[in-house]
Amino acid sequence: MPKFERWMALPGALVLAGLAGAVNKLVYGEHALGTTAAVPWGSLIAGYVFFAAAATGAGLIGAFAHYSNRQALAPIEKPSLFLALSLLLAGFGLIGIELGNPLNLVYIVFSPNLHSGIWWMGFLYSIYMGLLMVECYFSQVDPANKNLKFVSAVAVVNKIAAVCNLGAIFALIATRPFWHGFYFPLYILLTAILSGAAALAAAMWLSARRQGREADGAVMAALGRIMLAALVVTALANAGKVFFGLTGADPALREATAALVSGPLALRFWALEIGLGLLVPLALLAKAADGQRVFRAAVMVLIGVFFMRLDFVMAGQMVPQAVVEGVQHVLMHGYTPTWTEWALTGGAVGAAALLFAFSETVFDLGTGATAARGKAGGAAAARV
Amino acid sequence: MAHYAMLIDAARCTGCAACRVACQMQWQLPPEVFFNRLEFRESGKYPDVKQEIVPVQCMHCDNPPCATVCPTKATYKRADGLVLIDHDKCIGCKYCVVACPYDVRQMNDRGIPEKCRFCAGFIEKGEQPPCVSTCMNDVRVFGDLDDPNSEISKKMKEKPVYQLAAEKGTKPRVFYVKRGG
Repeated sequence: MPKFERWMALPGALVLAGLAGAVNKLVYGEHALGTTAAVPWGSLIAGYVFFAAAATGAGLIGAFAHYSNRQALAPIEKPSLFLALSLLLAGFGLIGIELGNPLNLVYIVFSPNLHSGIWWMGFLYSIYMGLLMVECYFSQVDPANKNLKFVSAVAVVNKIAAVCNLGAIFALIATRPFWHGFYFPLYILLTAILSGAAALAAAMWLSARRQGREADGAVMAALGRIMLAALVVTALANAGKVFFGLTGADPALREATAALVSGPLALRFWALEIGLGLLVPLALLAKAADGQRVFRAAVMVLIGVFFMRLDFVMAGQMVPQAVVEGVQHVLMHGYTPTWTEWALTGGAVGAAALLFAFSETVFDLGTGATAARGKAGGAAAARV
Repeated sequence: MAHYAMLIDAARCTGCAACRVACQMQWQLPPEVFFNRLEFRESGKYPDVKQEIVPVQCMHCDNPPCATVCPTKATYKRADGLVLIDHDKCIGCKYCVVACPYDVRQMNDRGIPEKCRFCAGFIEKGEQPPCVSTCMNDVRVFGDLDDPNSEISKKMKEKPVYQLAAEKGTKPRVFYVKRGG
């Protein structure tokens, strides 16, 4: 049975705060949130996208490790499954509380609307959760089992479909030019890999520290390289988004992009999303990456990607819609997350950490075995 | 089968907001929740300035994005043209609120979106929606476009009309009389 360890006090406190937030949301409903009719989607939606995408990214990297046969990545095969499941469950908890009445989800089954992106999201991510559970089971019963290979192959298709559909939920909304178009499904797939790699790096490093040893250098180096590649592409994608947003023909798109780079969201965008989440990790990972450096970069990337999700959700809603031509509206719709929303988001982070630690204690994730390889990890890094 | 629609002659609106209050009374809405609103458009340069008032509400679109995105068909379009919400089926995802190009959806205390219902239940008894019957200047005309003898059918033949944000392809069933038409 898992025992209490000192480090668990922090995620435990976050979970307790999250529970307080959940009670407040269930008692006061929409009044507990900073959202309004003008800005109906807030940080809980952004948080759900963050967790679901990170879960998908971790799963995709795990699948890559599974099929690529790279020795350096072998130790993450099992942890990636359990981490993805932990992140996905945390995300589901967040969206369940945001919805307020999860019992009505029964109509997803009995009255499905196949034109709705959210219906497909529920379907694809439910399948993903089921497949993850099956993969976790097979990983414990017999890692060499052919069933695991088959399920993993199906899961890869499912993961790509799920995360692209998650992006399409936004991209198909024609009334929000900042979200609309083919860009976001691809962008979220890219940044899912970025956040998945960061989550895996953080989990592997913390797991090793928990056992009082250094993290496997080869694993950390491999994850650092994946993060580095994803960061470079993300930086280019961001530059393109800002350039085309500011020079585009649609005034609402220009205003939303301006809100991001020089308006109400600018401080968060430049300081947290670009500075902390992109440039500093790029600088850290560009040098020869040791475990500590990769871990620091991973934590920064995770914070940056969370604010990337929040900024994206906000920028799409802040510009008032031009319903009546010529009417001058307020310049921007405002939104500030309440303590309930921060507590719930923190609670989800704590829950994901505790769930992973729990699964690591109860199941054989192979994370303890990496210690035996010790310094040999450095040699393996050269093969990545 | 009736096919309901509304014609709004915004030039007649004085901005008294009796339509909004009557609607709130009809549906027992709290003060912060409203199904119709007035938008104020200013134009011209001093001293030749003018203000126009444009009432805005759910357009009961024939191609409603709110219904397209709803994962449980809680928002649906009736054969008589009304776009309604089945509160029991709504999961509270607010996708419809985000997707509405007219910003007319409001949230109630239970986290369920609300909007103009074209007074379903009342109009079937032959009553007029209170936003129509309360208006002192007959800004709004509500009726059946399939009935050539209805007031709305006759007025729409008399005057040129337009729809708000028609370029979005939503095919609204709320029409506006063109100024000077």
